[in-house]
Amino acid sequence: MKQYTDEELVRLYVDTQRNQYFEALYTRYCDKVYRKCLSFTKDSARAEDFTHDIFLKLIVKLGGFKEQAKFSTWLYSVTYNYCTDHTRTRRGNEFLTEDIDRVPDYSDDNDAEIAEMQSVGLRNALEQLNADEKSLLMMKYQDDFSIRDIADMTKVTESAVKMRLKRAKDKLRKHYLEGVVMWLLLALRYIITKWPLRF
Amino acid sequence: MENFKEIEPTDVCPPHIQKELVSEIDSIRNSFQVVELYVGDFLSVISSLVNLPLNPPATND
Repeated sequence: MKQYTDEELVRLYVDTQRNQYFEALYTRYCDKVYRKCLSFTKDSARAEDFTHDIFLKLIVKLGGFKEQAKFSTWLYSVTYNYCTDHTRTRRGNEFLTEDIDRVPDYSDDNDAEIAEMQSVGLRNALEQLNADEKSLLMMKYQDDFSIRDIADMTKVTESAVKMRLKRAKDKLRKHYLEGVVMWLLLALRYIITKWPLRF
Repeated sequence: MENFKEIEPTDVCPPHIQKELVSEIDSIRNSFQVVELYVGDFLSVISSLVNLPLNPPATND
């Protein structure tokens, strides 16, 4: 099966309906999908359910795969959309109230700042964001999707993606700094209780 | 970005999901075949009923 590309395997599965082709695709991507689900759910049992449902959904949709994008991009799109939909909370979804024409400028100015964030702090800051914001940042910086790909996957315009990314990065930076300040205060408090100042 | 890649989990997908999926696909496929078989027969009966000649051919007696 290794000689077949993903797209060939899809075609073979659709034409023959033989499980071996689906299983080959599954073997290639199950870990990636499972890890992505785990990133959203933080719970292995729930991540297993998500993975199961995503692949089942995939089988139903395989017949409609038009090969306009790579299979992997398409699978990630299904995965991200599923995870975002099922982990979205009632917490305000700012994306719905955006004014796309107003803030179309996007730049990578604060990317350097994000690149310098420590993993632990970054993980905590990401957890403070809503599912859509988290999903967007993961697509861009974990899976290296282009703005065009993200726009296709989320079915919005490129300018909307740029603006959402900018907002998500601003929020991420804010939560990260809050975390850093909190740790500094805790450290300061510890130092003061350990070695009290004497005047 | 490296720090984003570092926070990605390294867990492996449990193997039982594959077995469950394959058996579920088989059962969905079988159900479709059964439905197709019965609905197909049902439709062919309906179609032959609809196509029955309204005026039966005249007899010679």
